[in-house]
Amino acid sequence: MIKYRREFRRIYRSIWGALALLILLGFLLQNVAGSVYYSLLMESSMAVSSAPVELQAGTAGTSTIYTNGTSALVSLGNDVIDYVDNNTSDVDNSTDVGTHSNFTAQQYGLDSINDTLTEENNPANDTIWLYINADDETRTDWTRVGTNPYLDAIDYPTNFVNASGNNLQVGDFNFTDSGKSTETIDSVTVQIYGQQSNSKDLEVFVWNGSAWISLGVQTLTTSWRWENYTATTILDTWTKIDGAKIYLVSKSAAGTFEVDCARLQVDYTNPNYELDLEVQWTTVDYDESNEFLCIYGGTMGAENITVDVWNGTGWENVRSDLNSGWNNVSVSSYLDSSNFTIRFKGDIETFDNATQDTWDIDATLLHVWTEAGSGSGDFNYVLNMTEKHNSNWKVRLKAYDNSSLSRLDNCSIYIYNGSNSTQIIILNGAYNQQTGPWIDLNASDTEYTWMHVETSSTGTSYVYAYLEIRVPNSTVYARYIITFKIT
Amino acid sequence: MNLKNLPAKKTMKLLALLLTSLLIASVSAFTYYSLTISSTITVYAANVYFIEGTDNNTGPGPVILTLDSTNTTATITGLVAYKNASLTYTNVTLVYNNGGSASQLRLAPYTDPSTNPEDFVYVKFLLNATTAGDRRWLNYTSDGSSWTSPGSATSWTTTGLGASAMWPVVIMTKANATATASQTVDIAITVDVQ
Repeated sequence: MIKYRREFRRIYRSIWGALALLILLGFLLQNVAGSVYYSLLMESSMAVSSAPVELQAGTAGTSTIYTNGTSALVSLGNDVIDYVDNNTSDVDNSTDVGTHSNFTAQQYGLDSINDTLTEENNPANDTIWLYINADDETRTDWTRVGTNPYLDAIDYPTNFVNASGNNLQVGDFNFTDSGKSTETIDSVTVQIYGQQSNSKDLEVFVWNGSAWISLGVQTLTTSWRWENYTATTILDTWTKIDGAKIYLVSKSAAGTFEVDCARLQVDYTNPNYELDLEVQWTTVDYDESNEFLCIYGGTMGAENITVDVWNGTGWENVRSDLNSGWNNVSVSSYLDSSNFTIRFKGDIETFDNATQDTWDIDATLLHVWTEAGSGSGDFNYVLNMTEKHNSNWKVRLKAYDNSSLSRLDNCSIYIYNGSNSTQIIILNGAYNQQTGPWIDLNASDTEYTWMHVETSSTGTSYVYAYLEIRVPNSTVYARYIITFKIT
Repeated sequence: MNLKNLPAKKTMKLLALLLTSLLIASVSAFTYYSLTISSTITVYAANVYFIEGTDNNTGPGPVILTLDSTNTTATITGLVAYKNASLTYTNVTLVYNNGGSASQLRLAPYTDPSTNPEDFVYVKFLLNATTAGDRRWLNYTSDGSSWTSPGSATSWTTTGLGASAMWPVVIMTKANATATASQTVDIAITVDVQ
């Protein structure tokens, strides 16, 4: 049994040895094979040269010719997104009211980064007169003429009070409620409309909610007029004003006191939240068929925010409010120069004392466009090519890439060199011909490219093409990149 | 029981003998093949060499191809590069196989460009094999301040250049849009033949 095992071990050793030898020889063979080659040497020298053909802008569409005239962008129709340029204009000579949190945010997006427009508090000064509306007749030294409350209007001799004698009281008279609570009280004055035949003093007492306070005396004149008794420090809250009442005291025995009317004059400051912010475009493309103002709103305040357009002499409203999301409105009738100005304005601008509203604006832009296929569809002279080396060449167009072809019912690109050469044809959204035939471009010649375009829908399509320029009787050729942008 | 008398023992011996024979045969074959290749290189002139293409002596430039007496060195002058436009020389020279069997080829850098990187965008060499899988590129590119050259040779072709077949070496050039006219660059490559 031991011998049997020993024989097997020998066999295994032989097999492993053979395998190792094979692997080593395999490496050797590979090395020998990889090292056996010879080299052919190619030396080349090249120099920079100007290109033989120069592209030039045509008269149809808009052509952008890049450096050296060796590549171009041909735009038929136009589609421009123009974000608002600044918030520093003042076309109406009226200072902005309100604030932008981040005007730059309006100039980009959509990106959920908002410019928050916030109303500014421009307090408005106002005055309210609270007339007598009741007389509890607890003080009866004076004679009352007419009907209660006697002093609620200037209506002598229908309703009034009078007295002859010193230290005679009449009252108590209450005032109409103000209905106010938040406004800032600037001054309070008790006003008495009266006269005294001998120009004597009249004293007024006012109830401040807890005590009667004398407002001092004023000398009544011999003719009717208002006399003022200052009560600012006494009636310093709306609660005290609404609870105020007065009584009058004659301060002389000579002559007769007559009072026809009494009231509280309250001067106060009213909060007034306003928004009036101009924003402006300065280099607008204003000659397109479609011109829309587009504003994307975020969280909008409860108060409506209006949008006005400056027509050169005044503001015209184009939106009565902005919603969250896109707010698009045609401004074709206003967009007639390179400057275009709008303003955001709060809908309530007078006595807006309820809330300081805010509105989020993500983006503000003008979208202007003209569809290439909406007119006759023929664009002559979209691009010229001029030979500059005084040599003869062959040229052709070759489309090599594209986007959004499906909306092109017909897009045909021609080179005209005395006769039309159809170079690229797209029919019903697909290439009918992607590469044109070679045609002659002779020394110093200028040939031009023209197009026919019909579109089925709005959008922008691109056809990327090479202008190939070949040496006659040779396969040496140059390639210029021409991008056709069809809106 | 004597194990030497078992049939399995004989079988094992036979198997070991067979494997050893195979091993000797294999080693002998590899060794012989290697020696044959070496002798071909040392004795005969190159079967694969450059020949003139149809674009030689044509514009722009014009491009001029000069071959040495053995057609193993090709010197090409008059190549130009247009500003901001590619220029393709499709057929200035070709690699021709005058041998009776296919040869594998590759492109390898020899002298890298060192001048005027600000004037050029790229110079590319294409071994334009008939089958796409055998095409090999050697690209020299410039970022405007320095050249980037291939660090090593391309891989060898797989199908190879067949007997009496010829492949053009295509040259593509492009100059920077702001390049200065007449600025030059020299590049040398090799077409390695196996």
